[in-house]
Amino acid sequence: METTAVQKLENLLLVSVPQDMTDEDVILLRRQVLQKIRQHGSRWVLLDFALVDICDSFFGRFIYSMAEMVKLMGAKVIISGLQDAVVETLIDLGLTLPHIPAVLDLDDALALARSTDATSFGAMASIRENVVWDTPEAKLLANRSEV
Amino acid sequence: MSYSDINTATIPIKSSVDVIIARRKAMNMAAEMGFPKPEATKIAVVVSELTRNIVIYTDGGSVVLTAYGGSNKQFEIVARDNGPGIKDVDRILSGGYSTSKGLGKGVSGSKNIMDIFEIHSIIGKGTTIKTSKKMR
Repeated sequence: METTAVQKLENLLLVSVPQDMTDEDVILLRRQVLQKIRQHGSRWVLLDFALVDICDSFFGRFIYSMAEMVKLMGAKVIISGLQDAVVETLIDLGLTLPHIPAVLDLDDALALARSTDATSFGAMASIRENVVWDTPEAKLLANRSEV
Repeated sequence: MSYSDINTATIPIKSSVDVIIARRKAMNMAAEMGFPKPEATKIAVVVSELTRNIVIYTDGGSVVLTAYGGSNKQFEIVARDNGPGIKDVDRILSGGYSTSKGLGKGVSGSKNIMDIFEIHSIIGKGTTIKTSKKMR
């Protein structure tokens, strides 16, 4: 695991969640993310699950608690890359991740972070053409452009 | 059913590393006998939930994974420990119970995933959970 799992990219932390983490690894990774947010002043944490093929209830709670902790540091979590089989299993287990935005892949995660940044800085015009997904932010932009 | 149709593995469970070994083994065995990937994933997650309970609540135990071939293919998990036992089995199964780190959800969720789910628990002696999933 170590530091290669967490990389800084401008105001984002890119976390490539490793395949087989013990419960101790999971807690270490969460601490590492919180430290890096502080160190780099990150605004976004992109949790990429492309490598993960087994996601149980402990892991689900880890994602949720990480999102809550990250929020207290003024940043936000985006989840990306959940595999089909993982998604099916999470829902059958009865686990949902309310209030945490999830996207298909890293491209979408980056785009969502960028568009939300742009919205909060009032630079809507520059991204209007690029907004293609169905999010509250995108709808807000669409409505404003009609006014 | 002939003997060669049965593939079994016994894995001692003591630490969180054993949880990973056990669930990975279950995933491979289930995939090998022909369970589609989402089903093999669910079986692996159930093994993960049950073995983690052993690590968190007890001093250790074991899990026996059995792949039954032949005409009625199914995957069986038997998780055993010599821990304190479960006081209220019904409450655990309904998911409204969490004694240590919110694991009640893991057991009730596992029950939803599997076809048969039985808990035998004696206070002060230990718990055995036997569960299986048929291939459809």
